[in-house]
Amino acid sequence: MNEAFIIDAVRTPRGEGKARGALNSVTPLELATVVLRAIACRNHLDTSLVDDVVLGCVTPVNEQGSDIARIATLAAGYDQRVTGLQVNRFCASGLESVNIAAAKVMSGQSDIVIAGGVESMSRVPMSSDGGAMTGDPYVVYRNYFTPQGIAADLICTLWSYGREDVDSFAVESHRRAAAAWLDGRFSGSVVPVVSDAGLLILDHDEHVRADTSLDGLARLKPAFAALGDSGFDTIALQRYPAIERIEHHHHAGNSSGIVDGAAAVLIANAEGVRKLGLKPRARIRSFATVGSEPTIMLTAPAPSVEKAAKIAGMNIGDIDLHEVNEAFASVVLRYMDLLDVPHDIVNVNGGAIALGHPLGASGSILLGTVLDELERRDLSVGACTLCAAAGMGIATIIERV
Amino acid sequence: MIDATTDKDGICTLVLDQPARSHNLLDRASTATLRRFIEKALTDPKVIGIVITSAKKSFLVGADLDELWSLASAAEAADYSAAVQDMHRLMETGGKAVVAALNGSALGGGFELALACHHRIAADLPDLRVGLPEATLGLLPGGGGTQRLPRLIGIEKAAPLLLKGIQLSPSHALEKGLIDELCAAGDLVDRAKAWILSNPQPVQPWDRAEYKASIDPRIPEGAASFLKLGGDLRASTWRNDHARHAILACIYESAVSTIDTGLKVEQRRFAELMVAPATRNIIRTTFFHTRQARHRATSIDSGKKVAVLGAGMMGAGIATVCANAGYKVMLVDRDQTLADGGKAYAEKVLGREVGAGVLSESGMRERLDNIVTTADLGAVRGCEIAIEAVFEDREVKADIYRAVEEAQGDILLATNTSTLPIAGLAKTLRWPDRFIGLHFFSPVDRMPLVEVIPGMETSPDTLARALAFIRRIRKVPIVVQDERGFFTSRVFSTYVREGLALLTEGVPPALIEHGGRLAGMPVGPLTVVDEVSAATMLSIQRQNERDLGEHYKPAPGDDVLAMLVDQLDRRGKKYGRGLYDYPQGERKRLWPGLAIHFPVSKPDMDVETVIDRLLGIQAVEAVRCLEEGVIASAADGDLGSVLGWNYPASVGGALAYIDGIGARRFVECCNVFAERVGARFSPPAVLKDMAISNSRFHEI
Repeated sequence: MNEAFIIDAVRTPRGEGKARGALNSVTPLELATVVLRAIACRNHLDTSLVDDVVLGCVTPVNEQGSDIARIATLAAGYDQRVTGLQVNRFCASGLESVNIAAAKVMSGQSDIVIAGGVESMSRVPMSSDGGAMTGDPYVVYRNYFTPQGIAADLICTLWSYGREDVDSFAVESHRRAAAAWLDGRFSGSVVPVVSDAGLLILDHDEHVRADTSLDGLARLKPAFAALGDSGFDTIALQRYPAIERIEHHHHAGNSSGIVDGAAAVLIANAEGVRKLGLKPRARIRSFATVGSEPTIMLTAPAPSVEKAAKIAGMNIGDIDLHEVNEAFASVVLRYMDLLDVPHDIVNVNGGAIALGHPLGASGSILLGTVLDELERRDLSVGACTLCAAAGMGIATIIERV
Repeated sequence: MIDATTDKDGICTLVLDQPARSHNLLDRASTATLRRFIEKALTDPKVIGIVITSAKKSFLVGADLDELWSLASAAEAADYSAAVQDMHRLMETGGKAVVAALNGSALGGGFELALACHHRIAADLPDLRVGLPEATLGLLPGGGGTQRLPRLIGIEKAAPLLLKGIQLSPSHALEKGLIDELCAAGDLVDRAKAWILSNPQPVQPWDRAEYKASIDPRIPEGAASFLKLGGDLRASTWRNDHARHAILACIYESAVSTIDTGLKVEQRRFAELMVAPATRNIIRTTFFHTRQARHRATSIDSGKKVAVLGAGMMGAGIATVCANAGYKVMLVDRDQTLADGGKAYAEKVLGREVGAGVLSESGMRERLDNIVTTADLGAVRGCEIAIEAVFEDREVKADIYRAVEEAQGDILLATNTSTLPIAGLAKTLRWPDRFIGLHFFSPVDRMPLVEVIPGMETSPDTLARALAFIRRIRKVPIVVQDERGFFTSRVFSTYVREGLALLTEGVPPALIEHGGRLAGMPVGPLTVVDEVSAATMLSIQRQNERDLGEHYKPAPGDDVLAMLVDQLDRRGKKYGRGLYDYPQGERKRLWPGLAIHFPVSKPDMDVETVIDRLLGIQAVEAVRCLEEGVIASAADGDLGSVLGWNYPASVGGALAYIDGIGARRFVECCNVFAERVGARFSPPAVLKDMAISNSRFHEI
């Protein structure tokens, strides 16, 4: 089997996913175009050599509908022979696109594939796509559907993460992210979003708050208590009957930020590398997905990384840095406990609580972030993982070359 | 039979009048007949419109459940539904106006017929009801009800009516849009004809091009509404409310599909329910067994005047249902204030009915006027029946009985005791032959069961009169033997005691409570302990110990109750502290001290095991009751459990539970539990025999 090499990774800064966010004035198509142009431009790509563009997008309707990958590829001025594929595995989409690209080049059916993802959460709000998971009451009933925030609080309840645990984690995420920006650690991958005429729209992650404090977070009320009271707590208890009630600890401050953003990763096999004449930065050692109990929904990252490590013939201890999507603080706390990895090697530059989680793009962003940091620290192996709705996890393990 | 007449204007009136039935019912034959008449009217060029009404007191009150029960396969059930649906489609798309003139109640299939008409006019009668109560029988309206009602009045309004099976009074039905007009009964057909003359060739809203569902689940707001419907149903029913689940699926379909597609989905779901064991359990117990039990009584005269002695919640409840049935009631307590308190309770109960639109203000007044309060036991004079409902104290009861017998010797004297043997209470009586136990359940206005306990000396005449009385107050009797705890208290207490056993074994208390709910029981066993109060349970336990002496068989949890009361001062909810804490203004919480006194040693116990034990122990005890003759039949046992303590109807009852598992497997399960947790699970001989022959209590 061929090897899949990562040649480059870029991302946009993440704008607040609200009307007042800097990227609200930029369409998701434009966001995707920004990263596709950037990755082509800085690698002097002959785009006719690219076999396919695979973009994750979790709410693929309206402006993000009708295969945004193909439309963005055309809009970015790629050769018309380059096809586009939009993929959706909920929050895992941006890493799934990487894994699909890797699989394509590993199999030798493609040589050069661009992976990535895009989500303008300010313009195409979460859940705009409907779907049976939430909209079909027959399924809602049968699957014990519970909103994610309640699942995150359920993790707290089952494994005794208190309010201070999750808030402290959030404070640290902001501290690390702010420090990383100050130190210029993201500058290698972040591509500013500018207008066609060159006017700057955004060049930094808007969601980071360097001054986030435990006291400040302590003032926020649990965000999912009312939703839980409306009946969803009871549903979760039907699945987890040994606990009396759900302790609600999550709020906007210790959950991932709602943001707009896009990312792209250039992936090729040895033949592709030869064609492009570029130097690979890392190879993809393995990737995996795992389904988990769908009511608690967010606990699959650890088994996914374990599965990927097994495929790669590695131990968890062989992984130098972990990027675990901070969907909610409890997700990462649980991950660290399950795999017994210290916080010092997990999300070392902060995570989605501070930087934001543009759903379809996040997986690709994590991959670029861990690669940049492996290079900066001169380490070898990194793992990226995300939890996804309806009880899924995804992982990719990379190794520098 | 249908009587068809066409008037000079060309309006054909179809009068439903099935022979040898007091009500019109929907069945295959009547559907075929109605279809023939409809076809004839639609093809007759002289006919311009159709009025459908009935010659009975009611319009059409639903399906013939005996026939429905006989549908042997999903395919047969689907055909049944399709025939009704097709007839309705023919009616509404035939190009001629069809009006339902509801001279009386239109329920289930009857209201579905009305929904397929272009216009619905109802007679403004206080007893008239419209609605689709199928959900209460574990069914769904399979004649288009799930498709037309949401399309007619909107999903928001239709969903609760369909899911709860609510029946509405005329004014509420008008307000919610289930019917279009109300009028005096005598004007009904004229009004219907007038509507036809001014509305030729009407088209149903859902057959118009511009029709839109009230909620679109394909947009986020609509999806959120449906998420709430699905979530609420799951949260409120815990699990296995298969019928409401299916109804919700049909409602969803009504929001996204054409009427014809929606009808197909409804037909499939209907067929699925008709062959579901849970549906058959519900119908068998709550319809067939109930009907059988009601018919046990002959219609001998049960008198005009009832005395209720004791105006607490039970006494007041009994007084209310007696007044509802037209009895004059003397409500007696120690002093006038207490007696008046009982009447105030009756007013509260009836006030709720007025609020729900099922009782008029004047109706309420009339009933309340029939309740006379007094502190004088002499008020039993002139009453045919006296029901004693005071607290469980033998001496207090004996004093009351003495006064009653002095005042009115030939009275039927009943006691509402739930724990004291009737034979013992009868000892002090001069006429024990006229004495009987009538055990009502709380709240009396809502709980349909009455446990009837003849004592050793109770005469057949007394029993017959008691049954006639129960029939008149529209309750369902089961006759049980005078054994300790009778049937209901005895079997129900095993559920509660098993909960305490699990607690002492180190099972997490939340798992016990949630296990109870997941089993389908209305509340967890530990909640029952707090509601009844450990203090009360302990005093009953000690009474039994005194009464039985060396014959007393200790039950699991005996020591827990003693500990809660004597050592820990955790007596129960009304004391503000029990197995739960009751913080002011907050939801109750399990008492954290449980962790010290009942340390959790089985944190990972499978909830299914908890459920098996909580339901299994009730089944074993119910079999023992059957074996000992405490109950006369498995049907009585199922009825007693479902109607008496809200045992899950979808399981069928404490005995039908065994049919659901299979006697052989259940005995194996009992043997395992008997070895592991106690001899209380040892299968009785009857059960072992059933396992050997692999027989059942009820036919499938």
